[in-house]
Amino acid sequence: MTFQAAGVWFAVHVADLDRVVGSSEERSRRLWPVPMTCQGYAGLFDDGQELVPVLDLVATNDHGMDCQLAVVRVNGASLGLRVERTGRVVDDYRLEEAVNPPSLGQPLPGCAAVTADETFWLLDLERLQASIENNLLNRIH
Amino acid sequence: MNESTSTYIAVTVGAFRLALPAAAVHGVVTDVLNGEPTSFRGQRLPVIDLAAVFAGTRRLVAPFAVVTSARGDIVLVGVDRVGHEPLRGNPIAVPKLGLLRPDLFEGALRGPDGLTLILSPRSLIGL
Repeated sequence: MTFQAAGVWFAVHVADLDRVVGSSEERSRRLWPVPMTCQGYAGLFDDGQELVPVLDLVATNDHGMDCQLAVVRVNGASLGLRVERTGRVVDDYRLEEAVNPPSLGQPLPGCAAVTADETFWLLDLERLQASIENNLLNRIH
Repeated sequence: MNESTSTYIAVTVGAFRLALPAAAVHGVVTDVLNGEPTSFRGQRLPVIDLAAVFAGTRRLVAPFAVVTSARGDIVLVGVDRVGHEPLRGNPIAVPKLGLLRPDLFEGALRGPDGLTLILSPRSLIGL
């Protein structure tokens, strides 16, 4: 499934995607700011069942813009990705080597993928999760 | 059967909705000068202004400070506002991913107005 954020097309495996929260109004009502967080952390999303940490792929402080939230599952935990819009399900693509990754303060882990008419960055969610944790360690020490 | 609930004092700092366990709160002081110890019941107590720590806002005076203790240490915690009504509820877990100081949060409370993060007095004193 592809998503667009900050002018870049991203994708996650459909099997890792839990749901997409579409309405910015509904989402912002339940996205709560948290002090002392790592770079790119947008807040906690409360879906009424659990609290989900949200990473801001849009990378802007303009929280009034119409954004969506893709909630993915990584190692049994939920992680929200703030994106501008959803794309489509892509099932025929090939991976490409040696492409500069998009950055969110630090390069986002994953690899480039191409179809006949588009290119996107396939996020490696496990490494992204580890990257957030490492960033945490870097900032503490 | 009634669930056991705890009581919290709600505070706000910038955009952050926070709370402290009522059992750790000894009072509220207004207009507290930052940068030097402040008197409270005959003691000179250090001031930790959360506006500076959480929002990077340096200010001469904190409009409110909550007198907070943990393990025998007492500090004044500077905030923007203090709620009139105590909060009651059972905290839910806050995911640690992305938090620079996960020890700061004992949990969170859901309420009609939204989510409130519960601060750990022990960790606050160590800031």
